[in-house]
Amino acid sequence: MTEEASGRRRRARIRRAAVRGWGMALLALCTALDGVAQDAQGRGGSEIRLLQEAAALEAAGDYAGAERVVRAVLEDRPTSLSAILSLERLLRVQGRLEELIPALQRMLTADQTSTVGHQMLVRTYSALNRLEDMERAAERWMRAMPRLETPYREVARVWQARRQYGRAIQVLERGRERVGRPDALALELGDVYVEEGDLERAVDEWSRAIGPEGRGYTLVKRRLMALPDGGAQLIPGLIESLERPPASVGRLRAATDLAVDAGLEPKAESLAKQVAAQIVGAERHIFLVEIGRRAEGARLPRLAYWAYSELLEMEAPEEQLLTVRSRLASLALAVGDTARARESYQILEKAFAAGSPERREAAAFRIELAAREEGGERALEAFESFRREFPDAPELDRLGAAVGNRLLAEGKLDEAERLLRSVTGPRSSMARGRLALRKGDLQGARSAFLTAAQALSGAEATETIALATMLGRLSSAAGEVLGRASTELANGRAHEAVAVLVGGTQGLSAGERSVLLDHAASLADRAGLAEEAERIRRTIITDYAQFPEAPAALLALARALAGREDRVAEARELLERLILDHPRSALVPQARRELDRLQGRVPSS
Amino acid sequence: MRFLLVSLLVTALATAPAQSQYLLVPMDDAQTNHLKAYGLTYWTLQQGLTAEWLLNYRSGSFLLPDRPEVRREAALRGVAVEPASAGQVAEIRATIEESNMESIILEKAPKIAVYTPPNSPPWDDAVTLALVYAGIPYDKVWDEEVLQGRLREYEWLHLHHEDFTGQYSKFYINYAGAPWLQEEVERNEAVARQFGYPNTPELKKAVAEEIRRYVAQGGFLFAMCTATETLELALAAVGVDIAAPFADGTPADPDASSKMQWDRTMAFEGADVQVNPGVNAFSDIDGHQVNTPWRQPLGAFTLFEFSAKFDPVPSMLVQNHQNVLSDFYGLTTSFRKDRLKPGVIVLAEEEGTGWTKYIHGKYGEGTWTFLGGHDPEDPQHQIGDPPTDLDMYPNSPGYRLILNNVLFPAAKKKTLKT
Repeated sequence: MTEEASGRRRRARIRRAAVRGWGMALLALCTALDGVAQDAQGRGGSEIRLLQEAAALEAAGDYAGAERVVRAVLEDRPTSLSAILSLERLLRVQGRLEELIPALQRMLTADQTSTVGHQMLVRTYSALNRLEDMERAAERWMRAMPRLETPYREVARVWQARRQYGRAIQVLERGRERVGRPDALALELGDVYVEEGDLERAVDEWSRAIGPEGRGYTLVKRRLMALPDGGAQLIPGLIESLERPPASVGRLRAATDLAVDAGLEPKAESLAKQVAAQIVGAERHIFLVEIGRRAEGARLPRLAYWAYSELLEMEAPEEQLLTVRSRLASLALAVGDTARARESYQILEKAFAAGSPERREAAAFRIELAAREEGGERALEAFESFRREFPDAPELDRLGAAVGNRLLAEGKLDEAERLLRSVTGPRSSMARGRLALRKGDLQGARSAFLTAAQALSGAEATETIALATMLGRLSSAAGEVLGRASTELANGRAHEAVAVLVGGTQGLSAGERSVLLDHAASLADRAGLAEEAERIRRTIITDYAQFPEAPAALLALARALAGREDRVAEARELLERLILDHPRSALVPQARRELDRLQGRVPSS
Repeated sequence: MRFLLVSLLVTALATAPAQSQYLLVPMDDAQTNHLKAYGLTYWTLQQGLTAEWLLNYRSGSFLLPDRPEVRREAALRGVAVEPASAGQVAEIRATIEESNMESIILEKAPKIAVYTPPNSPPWDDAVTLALVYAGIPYDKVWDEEVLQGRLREYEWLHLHHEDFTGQYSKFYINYAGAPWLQEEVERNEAVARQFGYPNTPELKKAVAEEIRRYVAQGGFLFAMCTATETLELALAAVGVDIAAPFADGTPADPDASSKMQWDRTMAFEGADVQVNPGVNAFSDIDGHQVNTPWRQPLGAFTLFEFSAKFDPVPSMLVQNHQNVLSDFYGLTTSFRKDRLKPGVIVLAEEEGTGWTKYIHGKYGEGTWTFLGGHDPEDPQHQIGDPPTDLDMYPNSPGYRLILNNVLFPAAKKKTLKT
């Protein structure tokens, strides 16, 4: 490539980059120019042309040329906002920001009340680290506009950025006094206190910023959400402050919202009840719908359940009430109020037209509840009745499995077998696998689980395949134990399932016990039984160290302990043991990574 | 597959009934974790044992004594090792004798200092990242320690992205007013006041002078990124103002380039100083000029091969399992060939361009090595990027260059002086 060609390409590249870079700036400039045109009346046209010329020079990299033009505009009209902003940009790029100061001072001489002028002067002194000058400029600004919050906010921000919180607070307090409103600058004071770590004062200020009727809540919430912990440390105090009497409905609503977001269910419920007691009619209706919806989103079923129960008591069109009852029924299940859930489903079933999908769904839920609450025999009757009414219902598989699992749990293997023979689908196939295990038919169980896995997806399919694979290492007796545990799990009793696996292994070989304990530890993890999981894994690594389950137990245990400050050394020891004692394990790379993390050799995130 | 092989190997070692005399740490593609292999070798030296660096033998392998504790460390770190009997080692030595290879005895774990501000996390700097990952300990030193003459306590000194012109890497162009920048300014100015210097550029010149003295008296210096270029500029700018007003309150001398004293530098000469405060570059030493409109694109650089028997030092510095490496940006990415002093050894260059990537030289009783760029595994590094996780790059050839430098001072002095 010749030097000339290279130069041409380079210039073109620079132009392209400059055009991209300054596109946004030009847009802003043009907007500002509208104002200029109006302000300058007759001179507007020529000023716009000059500023456009300056922008073009700047885009081409001719900073000196652009600066000359901009300065000419300011000479003619020192208060031109567009020109002063352009000059600031040009000087900053050239590292000559200091030269902006005389231009700003001329601007302020011409217009002492120019907020932009004062603001730019303060910022410029701050960027140049000329703090005494900055303070003098701020003082002048405050004198010119004593009842305006902006100067105090601006100066406080500078001190805050320099972590001089005391000075920031001093400025803001002075601003509050001069502005003459007790809640003036409360948001900013809260910001400073938060950064300083004085949470008590931060709560006081933000509580003040929310105001007596809760109108400032949105701004405070936005700040809370921007904190690294989402405001977790502040929210309890803020709620307490907001509900302190005399608390208006607005403040109580804000407190309720915070409690919902923070997942403080009992507190949220108590606050919501206080709000609901003080409002009526459409306002109350809207509040309850909102609380129900948000509580469901935040996984606070009790609060949602309460809100929908209240809604059900209010007058509303039948169609709306049915929707509410439908939500209520599933929430009743979540909070364990099966009587209410069953009642709701019965009402729903009757309310919907015969043969309708809604009626079918409600009936299916009612039967599932019956299987859980009323025993296998009655559930079986209900199931048969359902099948007569809806012979092709998609719920048959799920329902058949639920009733079958219940019968298995009651030891009624023959009834379960008869029922399961008459239904098809992945859920009933799983139940057939459990039945086969209970009868000692490992091959049949394996086949049923693998059939089910084909129609399942995600983690459920993976777990089912793992279950089928596990059978390859078990005898019929061990399979029977696994079948019982699996049935307990299918009936929603994870704790009992773990107990069956841990306690029912007498007479089995050590290898089989190791397999079942490993499975028990996984179930305990999924059920949130952390202590139980840890206890089981300690047994595996101590009593069954030579079996293939030991590496996974070592890794899982190490991970659990690594999170506790006083157990890090033990976690490290376990990881080293995994690497050194089980070098062929596929988990060794993961163990090394954990070890690196514990030793701070790789970033923790 | 690789994992399986290593697992089998480690298992074979763990269950081996008898020990061999040596453990060979291969550094070719058979190695599973090249970076930690350096850490293992360093650890062996720390235990008071000796090691050998087999230059050009299987990409610069190490030979360690076969001890249970060495095997244990290798297994924990995931470093592949191969037992070698006396007979096998004799064969290796014969191969080395007949080829462009050499065996270098490593006898002492060098004491390492990294020049970095207090409280900076290791993830800011490629060398500290590599040292931490490999498990090689180091001390942090900064201006105070340097000015108090404490560099003499160390065999090896690393500099990374410090700006020795005292202009805070010209970050004020884009980050003026940013709290972290203000903090940096305040920290530097406080040290300048403490030691009686009028401003940060003068402070940094004094620090640069101490570093020059350290090398002249026999220290090993390894610098990357901006530290390479700005250290040299600071050394040459005796009595010349090359700093923007932001840094010292006065504009740079427009004739600075003609007043630079290049006889005081180690690597570069005849450079034009960038005195325009609006241009984010320090001089024309860097071929890439990453933050300017005339930025050059990244390519690949090639490591040169040296005679291991006659040039063991450059050979050590380029040991690698790959000899063509992807380039990576830094505030200083590369070094223009026409700015190098005569006698500078080019270790790597980008073919077909006018710049080099990796250079080395002797200065007084010591040596210096400069590598351009910021982070070999983060080619476009930007402020605020997440830190590089070296577990994702255990075989990084770029990071190997850094670690070659760490072990190089461990070699027997006799060898280094040849």
